[in-house]
Amino acid sequence: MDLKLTAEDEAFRREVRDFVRSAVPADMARRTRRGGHTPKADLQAWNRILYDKGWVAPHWPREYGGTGWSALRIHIFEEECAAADAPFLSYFGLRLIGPLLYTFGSPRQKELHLGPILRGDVFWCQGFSEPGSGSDLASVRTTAARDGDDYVINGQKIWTTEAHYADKMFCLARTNPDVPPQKGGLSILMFDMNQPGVTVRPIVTIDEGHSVNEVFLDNVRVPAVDLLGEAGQGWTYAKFLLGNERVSNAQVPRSRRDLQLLRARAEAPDASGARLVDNPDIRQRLAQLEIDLAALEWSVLRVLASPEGERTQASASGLKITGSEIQQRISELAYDLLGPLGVPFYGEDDVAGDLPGFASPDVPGVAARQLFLRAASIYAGSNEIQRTIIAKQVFSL
Amino acid sequence: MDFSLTEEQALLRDSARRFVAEAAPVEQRLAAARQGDGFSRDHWSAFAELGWLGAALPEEAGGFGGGMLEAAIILEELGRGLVGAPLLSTAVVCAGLLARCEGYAERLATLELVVAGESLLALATEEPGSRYDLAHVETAARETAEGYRLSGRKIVVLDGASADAFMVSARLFGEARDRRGIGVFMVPFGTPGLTVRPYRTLDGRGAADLVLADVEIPSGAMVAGPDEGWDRLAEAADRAAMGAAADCLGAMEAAIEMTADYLKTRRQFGRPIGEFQTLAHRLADMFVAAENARSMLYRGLSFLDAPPAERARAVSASKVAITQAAAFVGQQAIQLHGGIGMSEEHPVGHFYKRLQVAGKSYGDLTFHMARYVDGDAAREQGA
Ligand SMILES: Cc1cc2nc3c(=O)[nH]c(=O)nc-3n(C[C@H](O)[C@H](O)[C@H](O)COP(=O)(O)OP(=O)(O)OC[C@H]3O[C@@H](n4cnc5c(N)ncnc54)[C@H](O)[C@@H]3O)c2cc1C
Repeated sequence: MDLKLTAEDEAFRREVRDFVRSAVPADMARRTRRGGHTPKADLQAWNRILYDKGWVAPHWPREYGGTGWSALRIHIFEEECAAADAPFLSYFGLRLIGPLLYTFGSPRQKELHLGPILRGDVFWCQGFSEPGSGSDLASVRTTAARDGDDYVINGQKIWTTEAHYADKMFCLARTNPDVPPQKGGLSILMFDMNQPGVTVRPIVTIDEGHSVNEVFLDNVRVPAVDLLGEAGQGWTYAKFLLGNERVSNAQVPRSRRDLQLLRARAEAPDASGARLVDNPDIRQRLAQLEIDLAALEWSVLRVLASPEGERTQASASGLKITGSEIQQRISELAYDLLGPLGVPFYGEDDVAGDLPGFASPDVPGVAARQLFLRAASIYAGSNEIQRTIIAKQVFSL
Repeated sequence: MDFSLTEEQALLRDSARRFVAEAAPVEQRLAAARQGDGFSRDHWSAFAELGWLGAALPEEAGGFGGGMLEAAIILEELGRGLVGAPLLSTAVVCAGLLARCEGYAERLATLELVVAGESLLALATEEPGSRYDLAHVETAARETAEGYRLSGRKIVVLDGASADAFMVSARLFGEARDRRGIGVFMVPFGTPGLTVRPYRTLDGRGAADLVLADVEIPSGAMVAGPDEGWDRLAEAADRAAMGAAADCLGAMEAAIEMTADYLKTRRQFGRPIGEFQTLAHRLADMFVAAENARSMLYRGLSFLDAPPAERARAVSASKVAITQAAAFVGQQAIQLHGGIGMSEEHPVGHFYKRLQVAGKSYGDLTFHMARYVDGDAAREQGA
């Protein structure tokens, strides 16, 4: 064991920092700091900047466009991106379907899809959850029936993030109704969102923002060659994904940045010279969060440093639980610090000028963010489900 | 001690409960609240007819002889039904303050209008940076030949978007945080120099900021003078805090009932999710939290007529306990609903937002915790 960063790692951090700080446009950084749902244009633009630099998918294997960095360096890179208020790249291509494709996809599928994901030309959404199938994902009822060279898909998806601007969906569907879903009954199919039979209806969430949708699939025709990997392997692939998703859902770099900004806000004197951080209760809550985040960060590093095969689902689940709770707690403290300015509703367009409560420009977005983050303990496998996984895997309970 | 309701109180609760049950469904009301005032004028007329607007006032002041217990009974039901109406601001906080200001010549006339549902009042005490400190008053009141000239800014005036008049704290003399020197003034909407900037709150009600630029008011508009202003405001804010707490109790209990129903009907893995013990226990914890909160509601109410230092300490204890319980209950209500709990179309998230706004009305967690601690320190020094 060697628990220190090497001089080379430090040099690497400086190199990344120099690039990222100058590469993020100021208005984009401001929008990221505000913390709403990132506009597609920002996702695309930042994706392109990183692509041109060769850094868009550090976690991918080199042969598919990765950087070959160690897990630690990837973490340093992500931390620097967050510290510079770079947008968080769209998840579904780079984090979910991309790794699925290079691990299980056919040569044709890799050829067709990986490049556009890296370039940010094609955005994806994940069509897994359904009204009747959330935690019990294997029970999905959307069907994909073979018809000649095609599959014909029928069903309804819900909570589909970014479906309103995604170009493609990867969709979990029942391809064989005669065998149990976990034993060959499910497959993943990839198709264009812009085609007859696909209807997207927005769902407004409690923060009054729009990032999730309902998607209705009505006789959507998909060529059989667009079934990911092998038919009947849907459940295996889904589990592979959820494991991936949970590690990155620890969201350490982002939480670190949020906490930094929060501390800065608490330390800034107001017009009469008073500082929130002088309140002992607030000082302690900040300290507690910093300590808990440090623990989470080192847990992430430990998991990332272990060989891929030895990573257990349980450790990934642990990171997801802690990571989501820390995100929620940081956002709650930020909201608490607003005092009475937590009462007004601030719309998406409230960025400057005479804001309600004569608030400073960093106030809008804070209330909305803590509301939206209630979802962090629900999505990507609810925290109750993660605890069940740990109890089963580690203790056979 | 007697925790049972009197016959009149039970009738009041039943009529409030019936009113809320018979009002439009929550979803419809929430959508309506987005437009206009954030509440229904029809409701307001009904409140007047039902006698609710005078329920917390002594008979001498034109009310029906009740007090904060009666107000709490009504407010709890309004919270339960997510009814957005300025009852707390107008009929409890402002009317209660007016009732105690016997030197104010318009006292009875104003209260009569309030009780009849013909006048909406809002309390304007918060200023940029004041963080609930009622003594932090930079808004200035200067004496003129005819009365007073007010200048300053007030923010987050609850229910200020629809108020017919504002009760504004302003400083006649002293420094920004002195308790002495603060007067309370009645400023009607439309007075030259007064700009009202309305907006809606996180939970869909109406609030406003005020800009007072050389607002001229007659000398009779002073509701409370500089020697008693702060005391009257402090009493009013403590009653308001307990009123907001009652609203929270109703909202909490409704969120718990809604969650319990959901656990019985939502099925995953072939059974109602309420059969998963972790969820059943969570619901039990929510119940326990709400029970403790109710105890603190009654305890806080019982101290409202105590000497000021004791009253402040007890109200702060209640507000801390209830705000913490509300956070837990509101968050878990969403959590146990899963994805649907995140949808703006589902009522459960609205309960959470209502609880959050109530938690930030008339002192937030940080304010009340600090006030409790300061009260303790003062007692130790005094002893
Ligand atoms: C903002 C947001 C974005 C999302 N994005 C996507 C997306 O892009 N693509 C996608 O496919 N899905 C997405 N989801 C859906 C998400 O994965 C589901 O909401 C989640 O799996 C929970 O399912 P559910 O909503 O049906 O809740 P349910 O499964 O009905 O759960 C309700 C409650 O019961 C609990 N529960 C359920 N089963 C058990 C059990 N066995 N033991 C203990 N407790 C249990 C849950 O933890 C929860 O508290 C998103 C959700 C949200 C809120």
